[in-house]
Amino acid sequence: MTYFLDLFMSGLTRGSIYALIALGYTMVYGIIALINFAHGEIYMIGAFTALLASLVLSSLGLTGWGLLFSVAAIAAIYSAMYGWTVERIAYRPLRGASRLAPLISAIGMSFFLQNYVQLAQTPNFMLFPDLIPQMPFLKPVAGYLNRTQVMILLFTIVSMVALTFYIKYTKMGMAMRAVAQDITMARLSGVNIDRVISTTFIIGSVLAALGGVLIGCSMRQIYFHMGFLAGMKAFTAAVLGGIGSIPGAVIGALILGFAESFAAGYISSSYRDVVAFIILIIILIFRPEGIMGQAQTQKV
Amino acid sequence: MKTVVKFLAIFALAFFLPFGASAQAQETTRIGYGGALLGDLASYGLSNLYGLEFAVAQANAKGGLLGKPIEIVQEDDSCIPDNAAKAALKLASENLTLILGHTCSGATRSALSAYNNKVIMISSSATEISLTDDGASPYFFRTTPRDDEQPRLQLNYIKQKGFKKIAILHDKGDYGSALALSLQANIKEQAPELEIVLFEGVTTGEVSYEDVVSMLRNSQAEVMVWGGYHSDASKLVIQMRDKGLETVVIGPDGLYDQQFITMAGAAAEGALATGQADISGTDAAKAAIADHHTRHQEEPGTYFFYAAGAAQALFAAVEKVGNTTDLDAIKKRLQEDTVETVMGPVRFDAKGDVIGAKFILYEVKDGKFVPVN
Amino acid sequence: MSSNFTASNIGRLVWSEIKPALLATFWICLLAFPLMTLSINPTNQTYSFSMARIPYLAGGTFALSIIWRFFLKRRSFQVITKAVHQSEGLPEDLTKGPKPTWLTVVMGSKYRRQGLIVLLALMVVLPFISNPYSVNVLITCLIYVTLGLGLNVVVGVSGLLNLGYIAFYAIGAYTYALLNHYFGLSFWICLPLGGLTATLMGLLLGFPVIRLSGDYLAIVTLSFGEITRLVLNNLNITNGPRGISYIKPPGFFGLDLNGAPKDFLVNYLGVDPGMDVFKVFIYFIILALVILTIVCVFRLENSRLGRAWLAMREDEVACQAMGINRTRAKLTAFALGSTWAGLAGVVFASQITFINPASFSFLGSILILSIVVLGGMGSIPGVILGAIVITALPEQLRFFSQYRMLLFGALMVLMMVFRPEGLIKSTRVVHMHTLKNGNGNKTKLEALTGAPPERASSPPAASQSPGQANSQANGQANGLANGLAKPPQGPTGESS
Repeated sequence: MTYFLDLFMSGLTRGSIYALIALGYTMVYGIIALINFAHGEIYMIGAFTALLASLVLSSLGLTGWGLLFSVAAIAAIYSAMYGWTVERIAYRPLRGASRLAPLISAIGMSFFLQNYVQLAQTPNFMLFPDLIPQMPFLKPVAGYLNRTQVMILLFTIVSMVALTFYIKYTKMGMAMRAVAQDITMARLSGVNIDRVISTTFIIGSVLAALGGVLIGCSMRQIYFHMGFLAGMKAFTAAVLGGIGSIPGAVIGALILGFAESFAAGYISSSYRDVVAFIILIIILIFRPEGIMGQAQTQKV
Repeated sequence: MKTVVKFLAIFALAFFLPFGASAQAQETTRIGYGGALLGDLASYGLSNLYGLEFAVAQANAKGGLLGKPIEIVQEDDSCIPDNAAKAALKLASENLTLILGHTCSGATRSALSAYNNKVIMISSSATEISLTDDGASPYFFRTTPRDDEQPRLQLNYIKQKGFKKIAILHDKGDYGSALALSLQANIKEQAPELEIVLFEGVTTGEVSYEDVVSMLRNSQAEVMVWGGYHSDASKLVIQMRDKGLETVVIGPDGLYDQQFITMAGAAAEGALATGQADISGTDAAKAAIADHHTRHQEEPGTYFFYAAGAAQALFAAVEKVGNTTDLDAIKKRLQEDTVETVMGPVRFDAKGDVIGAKFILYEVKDGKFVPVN
Repeated sequence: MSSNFTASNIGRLVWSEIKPALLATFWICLLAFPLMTLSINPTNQTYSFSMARIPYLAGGTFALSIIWRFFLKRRSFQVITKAVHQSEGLPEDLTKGPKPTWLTVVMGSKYRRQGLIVLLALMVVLPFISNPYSVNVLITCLIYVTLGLGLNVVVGVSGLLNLGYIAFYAIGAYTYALLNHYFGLSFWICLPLGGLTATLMGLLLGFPVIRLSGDYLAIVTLSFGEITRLVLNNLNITNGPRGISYIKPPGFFGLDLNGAPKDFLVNYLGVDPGMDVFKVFIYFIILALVILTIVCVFRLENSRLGRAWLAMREDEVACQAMGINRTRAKLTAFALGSTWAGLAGVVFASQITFINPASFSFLGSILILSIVVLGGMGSIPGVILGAIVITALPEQLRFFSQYRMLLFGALMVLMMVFRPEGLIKSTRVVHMHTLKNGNGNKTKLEALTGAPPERASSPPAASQSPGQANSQANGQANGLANGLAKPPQGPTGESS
C-alpha cells in the first residue's frame, strides 16, 4: 500500500509537471490549431533565464520568497517576449496558409532556439538552484511530498482555475473563444485577431516559463534539449484531454503521469512509455475527441 | 526561365559542392577527429577534442609531425550511429588515415564499419567490450579501459562490504546497458548468493525520476549500481536523497567526473565510482591541466587525458614509421612501443586495448573523489 | 510627379524602412541580452558579464530585418494582386491560365522524354565522377526521396497527418537486419519482405485510427512511432540500444561485391574505383527503387483509389457521401504509404551496415514530414526537391560547423514563411481552378497530370468557395485558396 501511495504521489507530480506545460500548449492549440513545437523551447528559455536571474539576484543579496518571486517574474517576462517574437516571425506571416506550413516553421523555430541557447550558453547540464524556501510543516510527510511538489501542485491548480475564469468571463477570453471557433467570422465581428493571438502566446509563454522555474527547482538541472521531450509529452497530454480545453489539458496530463508512474512501478520502467502510449491510443479510440473535447458535428 | 535557374542553383548547391571540396594541398599532416560536438553528449566529445587539441599544440610547438604542422579536421556525429557513419565517410573521403574518435560506443561501431579498415582509429571514450573483442576492426585501438574492468571492481567492493541486495539501473544507452549487463553476468557467475532485486532501464532526459526512486525504495536494495553517464545519475541521486533514500550509489567512469559532484551537490557525498587511476599528479599532467585552464577556463573533462594520451601515442608511432599511410606499420609500432604520454605509459595489446590503464574505485568525500582504501 | 523624388521624400521613405529595422534590432538585442551576455561558471556557480557578442548580433539583425521586410512586402504584394484577380473572377495570371513554371514548361513540352533521359543519364554517371562521401550523401538523399514520396501518399495525397512514419522505416531496416543476423537471409529476399512487413504494420496502425482525424490522428501515429522505437530498444532479440552491426551489403546474384569483382577491377583492368563497389551498387539499387516509387505513386495518385484519397483529404464526410469507402481508402493509404518506408529501411540497413533504435527517433518522422511540406504537399517533383534540400543542406552547412543546426532551423522557418505552399506546388489543384474558372486549358493540363477530364465533377472543387477569396483580400496568405489542405476545423470551444 505504501508502494502504491508512493507511486501515486510520483504520478501526481509527474502529471502536474506535464500539466504546467500542457496548459500553454492547449491555449495556442485551441486558438490557432497549431502544434507549437517551439513551446518546449520557450519553457527551456524560461528555465535558463531564471537560472541567470537567480545568480545575479542572489549575488545582490536577495533570498527566500523574494528571490523566488523576482526570478519567476523575470523568467516570465523574458519568455513572454520570446513567445511573442516567435509568433511574429514564424507564425504570423503564415496565418491562413495550409495548416502544415506553420507546423514546419514551428519545428524550424524549435531547432533554432535550441541551438541558440546551446551556443549562447552551454551544451552542458547546468545546476539549477533550489529556490523554493523550506516549509517546516511538511516534515511529517517528507518521504512522499516535498516542498517542490507542493508548489508544483498548487501552481498547476491555481493556473488552471485562473485560466478557466479568464477565458470564460473576460472580454479577451471571449475574443479568444471567438477566434477559436471561426477566425474569419471573429475578424468580421471586429475582433483584433493579431492581438488575441499575441495575447494567447504571451499567456502560454508565461505559463511555460513558470513551469520551467518550478521544474528546474524540482529536477535541479537544466539543459538546452530539455524542452523537446517535455513538449512532446505536453502535446500528448493536451490532445488526450481534448484540444483547447483547459481542464482537459490538466486531466490529460494527470492521466499520462499516473499511467507512466504505475506502469513503471508495476510493469517495468523500460516499458513505461510504451504502456503510457498504449493507454493513450485506447482512450482516443473510445473517445476520438479527447476526454474533455466535444464531438463536433461535421458539416459539408 | 527564372525558376529554372533557381532550381538549378538549388540542385548545384545540394550536390556539386562536395565534389570539389576535398581537393587541397597537403602542407600539413592532418588528423581527423570524429565525435559528438553537438547534442546531448557534446560535453564528452568536447573533452576528447580538447585533449586532442592539447596534444596537437604540444607537438606543433616541437615542429609538428613528419616535419609538417598538424591540422585537425573535425566532424560532429552527435553520438548518433548513422550520423557517425556519415561523418566517418566524410573524413575518409578527405583522405585522412589517422582518426581520433569516436565518442560513444554505438557511434564508434558504425563509424568503424564505414571506415572499412582504411584508417587507424584510436578512441578515448568508447568502452564497449565487443569493439575490440570481435576482431572485425584490426586498426581500432582505444586508450580507455574496457567495460569489463569496471563491473569486476564494483562487484569486489559489494562483496567486501557484505551487501546482499543489489539494484542495477542503466540509461539504456550503448554504454550504460552494456555495463549493467556485464555486471549482471559477473554476479551470476562469481557471486550467485547475491540477489539482484531490481534491473531496470531508465529513460534519459526525463522530467522526473520519482517513480524510479519509488521502485528503488520498494526493492529494499542496499546498493544501487548505475550504468550510464553522470547527467542522469546526478538527477537520480538528488531525487533519491530528497526522498530520504540512503541506498549506496556506485557508478562507472561516466560518473567519475567533477561535473557529477558539481551537479549533484551535497547528494553526491558518499557515492562511489570506478575511474581511471589518478594521473594528474605527474608533472606532464599538471602542465596539461594548467594549459587547459588558460585555454578553456575550466577543469579538464572526463576524457581529456585519454584523448591527449591517444594522440601522443599515435604521433609517436607515425613519426617512427615516417608516413601516415602504412597502417600495418603504424599498428605494429602502437603494439610494440611504449610511449610516455600525459596519461602515463601507453602501449596496446594484440586486440587494440591499452595495456596498463587501470581502474580504481573512488568515493566522494567533501566534494572530491578520493580513492577508496 | 517629379515631386515624389524630392530629397525629403526619399529621406522619409528610407527612414520608414530603417525605423522598423532599428526597432527590430533593438528588440532582438533586448531579447538576447541575458542569454548572450551572461555566462555561468558551473564549478563555483558564479557568472561573468560580457557585451562582446552584442554588436555582431545587432549588425546581423539589422541587415536581416531589412531583407526580411523587403521580401515580406514583395510577398504580400503578390498575394494582394492574386486576390484582386480572384475577386474579379480572373485566374491568377490575368487570362493566360495558370502561370507556367519550369515544371510545366519541361514536363508539358515535347522535350519531356529527352529531358528525363538526360536526367537519368546524369544520375547514372554521377557516382563514377564523385568520391565515396558524395555517393553516400546521394544514397541518403535518394532514401529520403523514397521516404518522402511514401509519406506524401499518406499526408500529401490522403491528408492523414502521420507523425510516426519513421516506425515503418525502422521496421524495414530491422526486418533485414534481424533476418540477416539470425537466418543469414540475403538482401534480395529481405527487400520484398521488408516492404511487406511495413505494409502489414501500416494496416495494423490503420485499424485503430479509422475513426480519428486531424491532430488526434497525429498523436496516435506519434505514439505508434514511439512504441515501435521503445520496443526495439527493449527487446533482447534486437540487441536493445546496442543495435545490430555488420549487416551484409547486397550481393550481386550471390557474388560478394567487395571481394572478387573489386579484385578483378584492380588487378585485371587496372581501375581502382577508390571506394567500395557495393556502395555504388546500393546507389543503383536505391535509384531503381526511387524510379519504381515515382512510377507507382504517380499511377496510384491518378487511379480510382488516388482520387478517393484526394476526396478524403478535402472532406471526409463529403467523400463518404459520394460513395467512397472511407475505411478502405484510409487503410490502403496507410498500408501503401508504409511500403516505401519499409523498402527504404532495408536499403538503409544495407548502406550503413549498423542500425540501432536511436536512428529512428521522433526527429526522423519530423524530418520526413518537413520534406513533404517543404517540397509541396502532394507534388512528386516537390517532394524530390524537398528531400534534396533537407538531406543535402545540413551536409553543405557542415562548413559552418557548430552553427549548422542553427542555420538549418532558421532556413526552415524562412522557407516556410516565403513559400508556405512548398517549393513546388501540387499541379493537380491548378487543374481544378482552371475548370472552375471555365478556361479551356484542359488539354495542356491533361498532358501534365495525366488526369481524365471527368474529375471536374469530383468534390474538391466544392472547397473553393468565394468566401476564401474574400479572406484573402483581407491580406491573408495564399495557401488556403490553393486548396492544399482543408482549412483547419474550428477547435472545440474552450472549457464550456
